[in-house]
Amino acid sequence: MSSAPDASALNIDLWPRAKFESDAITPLSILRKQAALLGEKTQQLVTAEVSSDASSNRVTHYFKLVVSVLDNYKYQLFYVSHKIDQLYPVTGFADGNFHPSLDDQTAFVDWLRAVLSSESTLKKIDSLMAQAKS
Amino acid sequence: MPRFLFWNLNKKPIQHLISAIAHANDVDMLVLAECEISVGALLAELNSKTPDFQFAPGQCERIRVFTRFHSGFLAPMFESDRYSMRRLRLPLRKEVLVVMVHLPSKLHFTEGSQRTECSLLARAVLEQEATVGHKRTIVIGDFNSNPFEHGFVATDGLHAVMSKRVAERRTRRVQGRDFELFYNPMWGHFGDVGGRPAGTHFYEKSEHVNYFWHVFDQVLLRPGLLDGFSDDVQILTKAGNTSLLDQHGRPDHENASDHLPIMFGLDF
Repeated sequence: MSSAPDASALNIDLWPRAKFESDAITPLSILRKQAALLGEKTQQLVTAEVSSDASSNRVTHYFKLVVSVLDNYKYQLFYVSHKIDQLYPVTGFADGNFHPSLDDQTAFVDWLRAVLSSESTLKKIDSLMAQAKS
Repeated sequence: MPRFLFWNLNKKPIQHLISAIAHANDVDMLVLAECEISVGALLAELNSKTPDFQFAPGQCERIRVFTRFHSGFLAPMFESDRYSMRRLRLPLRKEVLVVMVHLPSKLHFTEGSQRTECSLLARAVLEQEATVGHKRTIVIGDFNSNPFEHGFVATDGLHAVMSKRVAERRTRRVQGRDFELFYNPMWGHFGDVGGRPAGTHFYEKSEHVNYFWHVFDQVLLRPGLLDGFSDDVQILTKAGNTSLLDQHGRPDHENASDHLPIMFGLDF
């Protein structure tokens, strides 16, 4: 025998917290910060943008160099992905190599520093700067 | 009709063979992967008799492009270390988006990772098609996958089918979503019927499942380009009078490359 409906169930909050707030620094916010910094260092001749998409259970962030004076030419420097419901581990793909398990923010930042300061990245930016100026 | 040629050189200094093929077949656009020949040396060979070819520079170091037309007609718009997407704007012809790729090898990537690469490539192509505002797109290169693998066939991959008629539907609806189609003429190049090569690349492994021949080097076309497509993709086995095959009929990886070149014509 089922009990009679209790209308008071509509007036209670079953959530464990009054508010959900997060001060987590996401991989995306770290990437966006680095993207914003590049333009300042190149007189905005070569800038960077980050775009994202999600499929199945992963989200992927693409880091691209942009040269607006070259008809908005873009070069995808690297991309990273992680589970939609989990910020870490991050998988990073750069310059033909992939790093399958960047387990936390420190590992991710270290990897990112290595990619951004690699000879290959600097060569690309120099080359694009030269073309943008010509 | 402009003629396109793609060849993975396997890092071999075979500029004399490239030049022989380019001139014997009146190639207009030469796309090379794993090319370690310097641009100067290759141009010197290509232009040894007449100044026909130009280097069409880009930032993707895995792909080198040489054109018989002015290289300024082939403007890079989006590149990565694996692909180069360029707008081909020849006078008196409609614009075409040319996507040239060299995807990761099976030696380094699992089947799942290769599928993901195809899926990311497919998304990047859609993004650039949206930017240029048309879908007259060619994708050419060494995909390191066969036409039947999921990265090629699946809706979230390149979604490339073996039939022109099916491709001419342009899109296919699955679970309420429409997915763009490519036509993949390379399905017709499996097996050595008529004495032709059984694929573009040969490798033999001591394991239970072994295809021996693979069609890793492919061209895909959007349905909007099919009216001008000769449907005559050739897997080349000769460079002038020099065979690109060894005594076993496999790609001569000693004197040429472990891949065979592919060539096709397209009117657009």
